[in-house]
Amino acid sequence: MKKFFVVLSCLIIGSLVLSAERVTVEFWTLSLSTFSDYVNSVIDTFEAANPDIKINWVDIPYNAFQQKLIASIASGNVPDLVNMNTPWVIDFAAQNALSPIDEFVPVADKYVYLPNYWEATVIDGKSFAIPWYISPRILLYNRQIFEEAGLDPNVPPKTWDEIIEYSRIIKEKTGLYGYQPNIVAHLDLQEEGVPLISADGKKPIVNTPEAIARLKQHQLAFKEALMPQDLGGYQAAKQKFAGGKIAMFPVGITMVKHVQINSPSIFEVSDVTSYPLGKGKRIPASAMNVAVPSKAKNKAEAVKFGLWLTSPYWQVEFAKIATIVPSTKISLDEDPWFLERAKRDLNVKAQLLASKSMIYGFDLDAIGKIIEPSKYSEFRRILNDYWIAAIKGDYTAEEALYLAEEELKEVLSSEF
Amino acid sequence: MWHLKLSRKKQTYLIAFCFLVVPLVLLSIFSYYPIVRGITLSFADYNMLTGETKWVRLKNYRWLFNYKYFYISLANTLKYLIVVPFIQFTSIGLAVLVNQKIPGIKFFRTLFYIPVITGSVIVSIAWRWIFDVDGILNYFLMSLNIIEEPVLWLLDKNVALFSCMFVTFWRGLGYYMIIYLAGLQNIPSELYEAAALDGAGSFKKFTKITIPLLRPTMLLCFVLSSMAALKVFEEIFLLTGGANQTTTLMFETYNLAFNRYQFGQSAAVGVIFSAFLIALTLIQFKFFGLGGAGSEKKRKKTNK
Repeated sequence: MKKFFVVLSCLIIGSLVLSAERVTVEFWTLSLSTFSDYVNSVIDTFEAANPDIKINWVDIPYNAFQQKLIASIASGNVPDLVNMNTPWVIDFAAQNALSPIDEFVPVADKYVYLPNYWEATVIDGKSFAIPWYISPRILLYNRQIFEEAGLDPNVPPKTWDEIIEYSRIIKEKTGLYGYQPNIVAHLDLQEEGVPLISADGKKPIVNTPEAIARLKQHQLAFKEALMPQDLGGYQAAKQKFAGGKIAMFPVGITMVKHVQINSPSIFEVSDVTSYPLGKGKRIPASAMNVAVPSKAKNKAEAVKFGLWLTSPYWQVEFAKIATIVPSTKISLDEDPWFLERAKRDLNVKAQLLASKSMIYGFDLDAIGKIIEPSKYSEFRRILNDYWIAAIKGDYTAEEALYLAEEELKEVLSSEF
Repeated sequence: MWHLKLSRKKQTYLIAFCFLVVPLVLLSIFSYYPIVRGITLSFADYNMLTGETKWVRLKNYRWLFNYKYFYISLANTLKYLIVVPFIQFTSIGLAVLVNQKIPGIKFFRTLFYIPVITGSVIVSIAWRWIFDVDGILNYFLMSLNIIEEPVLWLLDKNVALFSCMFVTFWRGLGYYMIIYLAGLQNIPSELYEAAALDGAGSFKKFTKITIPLLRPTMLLCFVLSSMAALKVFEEIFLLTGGANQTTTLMFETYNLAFNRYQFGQSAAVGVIFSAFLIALTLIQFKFFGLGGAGSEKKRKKTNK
């Protein structure tokens, strides 16, 4: 009997010690439930290699994510690793809600990632996130509309000027709109190499010849009704392209899959080409990252898993099932799997194109880190209001940019 | 068994208070505490993510008075009041119409009430399609040669706010119509019969009987609809997203708190907004008299 109790006590104490040593990392993703097999295999392999760490994966729908994360941080019941886009990382880091991760990342590991993307979330010299997958922009176009307009669908436009020219022909021959850009002033300006703000974050620089030229281009397209007059942005353009009402749609690569699922007949006649390069030689390519909340309990383990999840091998595997491009330096355009499939799958063709253009890829929302967080939102809003008003014809391009710069000066110099 | 030696009157009071405690506790948690918290927050720099609160006295209010969109939202909130008289007078007219004893009138009453029970998201999506540049509204107006070029209903800053107002008007009509209908049905038919005997026509009956006796209902509806107009959020959020200078105070409160995490400034907008609502309600009480009792007094005075 005595022996039995001794053995039982040893077993209880042993299991307690073992369970106490096993750390559980709570990991939140953004609308990735469709890729649950993939995420689970990443977790399983990680857990097998790290028996002392257990990953508890929770997927949250995109629309509810921000509120849920704020509520969890405010209540103190925080996840250890969170999937966030770059503007969110910058916003949350500015409010001390995220933890710097440098002490947990071996220096060599940083060089695995594309520098533009690692740097995008470095604030005051501290890294706040590990870049994960990227959705660079490409130009999606409707071959059928090209043919109806007498244009060669195998020779798509390469520059914004060519897009305008093509749109004019499409309008004349078919009566349809040529293209619908997602008009966001600060992105447009950065594409053209307009700095927006001085390096010290104190002076606005938006009134430049490049900015005026880009704005005039939009004004012209609007006036000639080469693009839809509602300036409805991304959501409206999505519906119009899927409905065969616009010929060209400059958009992130994930849209190809969306068209394939929601509008198969349009997908059949769709094709992709590289995103037109402006004077700034920057292509908008928004990134998803993983970050660690400052109140997280298991930071080191969370970063360890974050590095595993975003490692080149797992990112390439992810690119095989999702229309994304990895944030690591490893390239898809030499991988036989992608080269072979690109001939018959438009999604993979888009990925290859985007992957090749990643030398110009930037997360253009990262500009938020050099403008004081409380002023960034107002900065973008004022700029965009003038930009849109000028496109509609309320101001000339010169007037709009002059007025915007004057107003932005006040915003940046105000003490509040 | 334990017996409480209280008089019957005291027992009645005790029971009444026991019943009052529950709603009071609920009100304290969900109304009074948020009011006090909101006011204190407006004097603080609060970081919801870290829980840090720094007292900044009047800084948030000073910031607001330098914030361009505060003035735009204030002006739009005031402009939005234009919808109130339209919605009220149309609702009264509609209530009078559906108060007729004609066959199938219940069908019309239901029809007018449908927008009220339809979800705001569905309503807004439907109206987005209608207001689209290539939408049905522009199509009709152009077909009838009323307009030459498509109107940017949700994009033109001179028109967008009025488009939102129209949706509010359309959604609210059935709601107020039902309240007025109840008010109309409370008016004794003898009054109309007596007036008819005295030779009063329909217009006279409407102005001398219907309108004066609807006064308390009108006060209620005007107050409710002014508050709803000032608090407008869903239409703005879903139709224009606050762009093209269509932002309102309520939208700014949301925008500052949940897009910019500036909870202190957001609370300051909320406080100003509440003060504004209180002032407006007091004006309306003054204008219409204090509901039924006030009207009664007024009538007695006039009779004398």
